[in-house]
Amino acid sequence: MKRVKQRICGASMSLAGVLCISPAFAGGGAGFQIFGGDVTYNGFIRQEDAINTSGVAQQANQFGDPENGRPINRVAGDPFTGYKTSLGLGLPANIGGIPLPTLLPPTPGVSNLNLIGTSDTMTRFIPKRDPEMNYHILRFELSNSISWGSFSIQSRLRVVGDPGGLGYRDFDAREYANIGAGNIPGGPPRQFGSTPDYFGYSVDGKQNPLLFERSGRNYQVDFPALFAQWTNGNVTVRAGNQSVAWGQLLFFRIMDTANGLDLRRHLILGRALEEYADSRESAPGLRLTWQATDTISVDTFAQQFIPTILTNINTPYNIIPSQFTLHDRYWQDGGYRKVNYGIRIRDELGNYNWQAMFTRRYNQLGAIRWTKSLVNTPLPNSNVLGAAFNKYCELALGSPLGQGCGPQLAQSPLQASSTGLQTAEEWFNAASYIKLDGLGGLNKAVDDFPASQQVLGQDIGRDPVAAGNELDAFFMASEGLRGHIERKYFQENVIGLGGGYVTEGEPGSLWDQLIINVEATYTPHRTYTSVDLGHDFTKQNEVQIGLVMEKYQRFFESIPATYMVFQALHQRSSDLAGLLLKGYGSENYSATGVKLNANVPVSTNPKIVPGIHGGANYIVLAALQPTDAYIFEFSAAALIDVQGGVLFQPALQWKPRGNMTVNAFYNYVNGHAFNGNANKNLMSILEDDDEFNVRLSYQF
Amino acid sequence: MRIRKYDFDYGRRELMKKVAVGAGAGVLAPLWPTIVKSADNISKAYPDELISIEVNTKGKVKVGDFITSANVEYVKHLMDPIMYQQVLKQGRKILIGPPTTDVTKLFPYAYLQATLRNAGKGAFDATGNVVDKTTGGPWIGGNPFPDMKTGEEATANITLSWGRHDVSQYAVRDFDINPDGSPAYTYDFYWTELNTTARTGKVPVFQDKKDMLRYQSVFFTAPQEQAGASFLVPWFYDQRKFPDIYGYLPQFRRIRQFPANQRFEPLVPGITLFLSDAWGAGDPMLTWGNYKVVRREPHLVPLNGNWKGKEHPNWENHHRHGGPKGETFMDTTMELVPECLVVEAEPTGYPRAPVGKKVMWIDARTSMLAGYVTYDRRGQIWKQVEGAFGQQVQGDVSNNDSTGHPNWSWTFVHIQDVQSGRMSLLNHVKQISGGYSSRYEVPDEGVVYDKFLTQAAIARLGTV
Repeated sequence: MKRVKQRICGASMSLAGVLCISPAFAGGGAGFQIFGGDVTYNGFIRQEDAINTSGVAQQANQFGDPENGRPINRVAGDPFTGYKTSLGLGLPANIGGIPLPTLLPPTPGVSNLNLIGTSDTMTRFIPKRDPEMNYHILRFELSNSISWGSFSIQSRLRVVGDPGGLGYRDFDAREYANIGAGNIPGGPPRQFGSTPDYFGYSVDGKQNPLLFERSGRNYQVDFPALFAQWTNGNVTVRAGNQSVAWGQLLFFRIMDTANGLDLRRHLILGRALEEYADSRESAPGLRLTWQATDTISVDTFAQQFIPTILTNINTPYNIIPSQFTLHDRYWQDGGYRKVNYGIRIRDELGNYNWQAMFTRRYNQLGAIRWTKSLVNTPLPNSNVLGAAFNKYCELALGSPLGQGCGPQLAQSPLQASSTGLQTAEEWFNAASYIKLDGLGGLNKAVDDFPASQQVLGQDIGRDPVAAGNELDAFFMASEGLRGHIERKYFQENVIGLGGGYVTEGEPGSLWDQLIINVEATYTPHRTYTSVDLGHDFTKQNEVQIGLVMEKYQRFFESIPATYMVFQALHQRSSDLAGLLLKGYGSENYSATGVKLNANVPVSTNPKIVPGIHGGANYIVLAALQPTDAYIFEFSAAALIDVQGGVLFQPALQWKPRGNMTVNAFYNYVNGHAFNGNANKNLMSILEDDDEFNVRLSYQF
Repeated sequence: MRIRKYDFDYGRRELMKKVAVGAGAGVLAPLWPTIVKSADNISKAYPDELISIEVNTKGKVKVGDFITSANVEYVKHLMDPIMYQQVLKQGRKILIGPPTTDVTKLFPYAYLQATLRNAGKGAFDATGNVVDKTTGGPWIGGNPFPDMKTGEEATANITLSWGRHDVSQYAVRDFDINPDGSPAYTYDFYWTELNTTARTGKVPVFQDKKDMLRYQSVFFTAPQEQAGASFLVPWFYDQRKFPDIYGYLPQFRRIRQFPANQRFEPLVPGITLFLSDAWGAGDPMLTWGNYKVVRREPHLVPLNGNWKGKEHPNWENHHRHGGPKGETFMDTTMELVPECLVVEAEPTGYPRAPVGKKVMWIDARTSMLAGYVTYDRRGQIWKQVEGAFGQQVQGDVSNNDSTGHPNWSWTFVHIQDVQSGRMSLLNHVKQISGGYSSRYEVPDEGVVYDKFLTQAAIARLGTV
């Protein structure tokens, strides 16, 4: 019989000779040939929405600042007593409710101003505006490959757009440009100068630092994967933009050290069972995988160092207090020229496995400290203290006439700004929220910057009252102070070991086919953000130990097995976000009992950074229950910070048709579930992120 | 037609007697010696009513007829219970083809040669595993028990070499149908199986892996949500051991181990195929038990005549009918198989398996699966797996192997879950997206192993 010869391409000398398409083979992802290579592509379009159910904006944002609308008394401290006493001089602001005359009229937000402007009541003039939506994006992804036998080119294109508005409450810095010292930002204008920069990634000195990404305020276009692959027997080499995922633990990144995370889109609040599929940052580089024996595989990589990308200020999931300007030194320090590399060996021995890894990398999290603002803006002369300070700087410190304290502030980490901090209470609350030392931070802003001392900044030791007085003095004089901080990156070695075991018990029992994996890493001399943001970063050894137990168990004959996961993580020095544990547990200071965080104790003698001892401990409990044929999947996942916080996510996935997927999930965050003080756990940072999520996907 | 020397039910009575005494196949003559003597015509081994559908149905059904709800009662005794309901209630039509009496058309050439060559050498050792009794080593290719008499022997014949090629790579396009008859999902996946032992080729043991039976992997290339999901299942030769399961899931971007006993779950949403269903013997045979031959009987089976290589460049069967929307069944040609062993087994190694019992119809001539039905733990009928096996020949077009013989493999599979009403239609196609093509022999098996059957391989094939 005649042998069938179905030729995909004709032997034409026309264009079809090099580019031919055979629709007969199309379907379900489609396939055809280009230049003799087999092409495949598939993709999806997805609408992703999150409805805010917490009723408040993220507390790190301007509109979510708990001080907004709260009248708070301020009394400027006396620098000549080390700020231990006030400059109020006992002058009343009113008599019998009738305001007394003042040397200068009250500035926006100020009431109860005394005659000489050294005490008042500040009501932050930026309103509290609560969003209805946390997230609404339209996403398009296209995966593509073209292969010529053992050589192929593979790519994944991601396009994300968010029009803004539509239930957001977008802060616009320009609306506060005419108050006080205005709002000259000092950072990348797109991030700090106007409305939120949802997707833009720019660092100081470079607008688009990533080779495979272009992003802006409302869009992001990137290639999470774009590489050439060559396979020769048991060796595979990939060259190009790619990500590397190591380790058996889900959510807990112990051995998953190769790449940072891109937190811009949905922070860590996406569908839990998708882990970091969308957020693991890729990087250009070379990866070589070698299946050395049937059981031993060796995986190595060398990639350009790319940092974890944080959310921008005033975006819905922002976690960095928006009264601060972050200067990312990735480009200026030449971080883009650095290379991370590592090797992992893994061996499967029946029911056992072991793995060992080593990574030499620049820690993608980086470390943060105070930095000079370089913003030469005088204190506003619209208040007595500001005018007095400016005059002092001009007369005593030699500032050019008209520049007041601008030259000194430019050499300090502070900048007069209407979008800055306004009260001591706000300062302490912002510091404790982000696990920093409100007292030490103030001292370092003075000690590490001689210019701060020139304008009468002083180290007040561990005296919260003096700190409050000093802070209020500068806040009153500046009519708002922005802090300037910088993020720098440091090299480290991560050494890891892991082992796994699959149990064999009574068939069908809970103890049969239980998959257990343990992983541990040791990182000597990891560089951390000091809790006082001091110039000298903190170096500490870090130990991470994680346990994961996975089990598929059929509880019902009529529906598929339930997938259950238990995980535990212990970290000796830092938390999941890389913040030092010694910065945990602060209480807030207020001279008048103002409680900006209902879940944090407040007093005039608060415990500041008592830290938590014995390390940070986290537990994950998750379960997935599909229905018959996996049309519906019910799942639930809980991340528990044993110091008192819970992130709980019940979820439903529905596949009504092959090309349609509907996801609904709810993020419930409780940053004060137990243990008294919300600052003792990490979840408090996400406290305002309760939300109902819906995703509608069409795939092709 | 030969002159009928026996009464109408003679053949069926004789088959039942054989069950009682545990005898081998064949009625008028022992089947296996008949095959050895004249494989191209085994009709001497059976009376007419087991060869001819017309005789079997007393003239009610002839070759070329369609079985429909109007005449299905005449062939009800030749069907499994689900097939009967499909025709009676769901509008299924089945074209009756001529019987294949040339057994060489029911095997891959090399596999039949190995079966003939190694006949009589197969035996079970003390552990219940098949060995070459001349050496005590692993099986050496072909059916170890060509004249099977027990459920264990019949199942071993299927289990040791699913695809009956030392290496098989199937490009599969799967269409899943909703209970309301509407199209639900379409998947492309690539299924690779490489036997390390029980091989028919010149190399008796692949890469000296005597302790293994096969390596098997499946990875999805479309649609987007499942593309890149891949599973690797290395099988031990010892059929008492569960195979390990490693999976590369798109969301995790890395390989994870799965419990070995999770073989009764759909791999992807909407599909009714479980790993356990493969060839009716998807699990190591000694993890099941209580095998017994409950009947020997003739059966209607889709064999040759179902490959679509002439009418569709990608071999797809797009002729659909039946069900609520006329899309539930692929047009199928079936023929009368004179003798099938009806073997029952229970999942004794899976106390929590949803399956309570499986029933396999196994063609006595080839020991290939001819029908498969599962029951749930309550004893309610659950799923039917109906695979068509045959030569890749349609009219004057054929897809030949390197020896010039037409390739033999499975052509399509219907898998219907009658409790949920879902149907999966698996097409064994020429090529799926990504350029992955079906093939049953390769120049270098080591390349296939490295490319598709290691952990590094499934990670490489996974989502990027």
